[in-house]
Amino acid sequence: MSHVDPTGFRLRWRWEAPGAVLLEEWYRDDTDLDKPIYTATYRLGAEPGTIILKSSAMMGKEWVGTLADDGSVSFVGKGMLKMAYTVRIDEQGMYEMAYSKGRTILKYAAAAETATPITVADTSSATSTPPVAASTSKPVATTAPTAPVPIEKPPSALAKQQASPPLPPVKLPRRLSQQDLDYIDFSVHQSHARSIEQARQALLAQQEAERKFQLEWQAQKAEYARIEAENAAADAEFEAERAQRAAAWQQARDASEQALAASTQRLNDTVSRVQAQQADAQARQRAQADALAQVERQRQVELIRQANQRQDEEAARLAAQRQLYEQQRADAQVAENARLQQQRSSGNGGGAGRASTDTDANRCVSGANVRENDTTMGNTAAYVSNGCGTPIDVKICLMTDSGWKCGVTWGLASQGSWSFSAFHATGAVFVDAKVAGSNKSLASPN
Amino acid sequence: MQSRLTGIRCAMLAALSACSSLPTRAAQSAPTARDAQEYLAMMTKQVVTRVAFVDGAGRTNYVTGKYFGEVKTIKGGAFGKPKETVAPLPEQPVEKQLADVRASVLEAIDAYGRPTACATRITEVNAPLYDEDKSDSASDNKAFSFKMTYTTEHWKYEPLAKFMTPAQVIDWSNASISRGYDGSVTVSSSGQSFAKLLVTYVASDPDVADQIEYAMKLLSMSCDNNARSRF
Repeated sequence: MSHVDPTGFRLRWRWEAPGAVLLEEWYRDDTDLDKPIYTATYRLGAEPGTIILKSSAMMGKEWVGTLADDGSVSFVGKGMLKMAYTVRIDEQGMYEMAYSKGRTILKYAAAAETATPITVADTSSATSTPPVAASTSKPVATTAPTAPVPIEKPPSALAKQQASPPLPPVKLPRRLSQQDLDYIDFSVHQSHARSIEQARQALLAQQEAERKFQLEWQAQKAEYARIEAENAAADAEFEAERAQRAAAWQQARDASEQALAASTQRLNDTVSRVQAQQADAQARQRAQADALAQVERQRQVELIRQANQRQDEEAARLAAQRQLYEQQRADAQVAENARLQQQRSSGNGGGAGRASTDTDANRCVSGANVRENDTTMGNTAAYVSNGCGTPIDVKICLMTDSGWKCGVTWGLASQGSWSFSAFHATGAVFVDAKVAGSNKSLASPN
Repeated sequence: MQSRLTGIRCAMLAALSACSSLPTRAAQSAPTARDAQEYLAMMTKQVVTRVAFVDGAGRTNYVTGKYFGEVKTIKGGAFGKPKETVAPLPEQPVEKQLADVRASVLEAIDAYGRPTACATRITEVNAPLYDEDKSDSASDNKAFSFKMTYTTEHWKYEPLAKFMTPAQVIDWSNASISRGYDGSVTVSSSGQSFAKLLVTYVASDPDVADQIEYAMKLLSMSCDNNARSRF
């Protein structure tokens, strides 16, 4: 577009990024359109109906444009400098910029030459874009340019920008004829009827589905009831059988328990009887054993008493013998002394006097003292002592249930004691002795 | 039938006149594409208007985002000061398709920002919050020690601006209109950065659905000479 004043500016718009960034270029009307002296970019604002304009001048100052109901766009600068202005397409199709609340109005008309491509200096592409307004039959309010502010420094980068492809024309609605409107009416009616029918069909389908579901549910319910009845019958039958089995089992159990009780009673009676018999037998055995033991003890005591008596008698006899021997020895000693005295007096010594002990060592042995062993139960011991001045060999035999049991000790020292013991001794004792080292054999009771 | 059909027009115009500042609207006998645009924009605020932005992969209202979070652990015992550690959870890319995106502002502006009744720009959409946050805690207490774990997880998705910048535009010269038996009326069109756009008005009242369908078909027929063949 060109300013209506021949000394004004020429404006051109092209897409820097299609649909996103619109580039506005300002040229001096007396220049050859090869280099804009000023540019600005338009972007959609964050709020609906707003547009952000960023100028290449004034250190990139920005304006916020707001679309009004009449199609005009009012721009207000951000920051301290508002520099407000409004752009619109007037009734003649001219691009109008109003400053200072309408006191200053600049108008731009579509330039005839802008219908032809405009070449920008240093642009690699040979093609360029005619202004939007020039290619459309109606003004486009949203492609509002900004105010021509004083140029500080033309941006060199703009010279390298490439031209964008031409924008498609704005599609505008056609006015519909009455026939068209009637057709729309008819179509909507058809659609309405179709939707009603579809809704009806859907409802029917839903009802049919519900009916099928109900039928299936009823069938399942009946089947379930039948199964329930069968199960109930089976349960009843099972319960009856179980009751019968329980009764039979209870009967058998009672009989078994009764039989068991009788058997247990019999067993207990038998056990009691056997225990009584065992007790009687044990009592009898114990009585018999006690009687036998008493008799045996009496017999043993009698035997011991007899043996002791014999021992005492033997001891008395031996004592008498010893006394006799002692007397004899004393007599002999006297005689010997006399003889020795005689010999000494005659000077003839002799070796007599040893024959008494050698003759019978039994005189040296005290009577056997028979008594129960102090340390061993049921064991009987016979004690002897050597009453002579020389060692002797002693043999003791005890009569037992199985016969004589004998023991010998050799060299029993003078005044020494020795005992021999045996089990089950009956009381009879045999004692024999000899001087130790003599050739005499010890006698046996057999 | 004719009286009823005319009634649709009248109802649409009457609805517009009730909300419009133009006193002469109701007096018009033939609605225009501009009327239809205003009616649809108005109905956006009265009935549920769902939008679906379908991408080339067939995904509807597809958004991506990331999953992240942290695990804070506090360990302590019968003696001494509890020890606290914080470990970040590994970030992972996440995605979802938003089920409920609704248009709140529709404008008769084309893809290049030019006002025209043959285009409807979906200027503003909204949706229920679709970011997700989750927190969890657990404790493990023993005779002489304890451990408490606090886990926080976040699923953050890209904002709805994805569907508004650049704003997607329904091209009424190449749009198809369908009506469901549930009272919904849908217009679909190819989008600019999406393969397909669908705007669905869910009107419970069949008469309102009639008016919406009428407005849509009026726009389609006004902007597409071949629209009649698609009705």
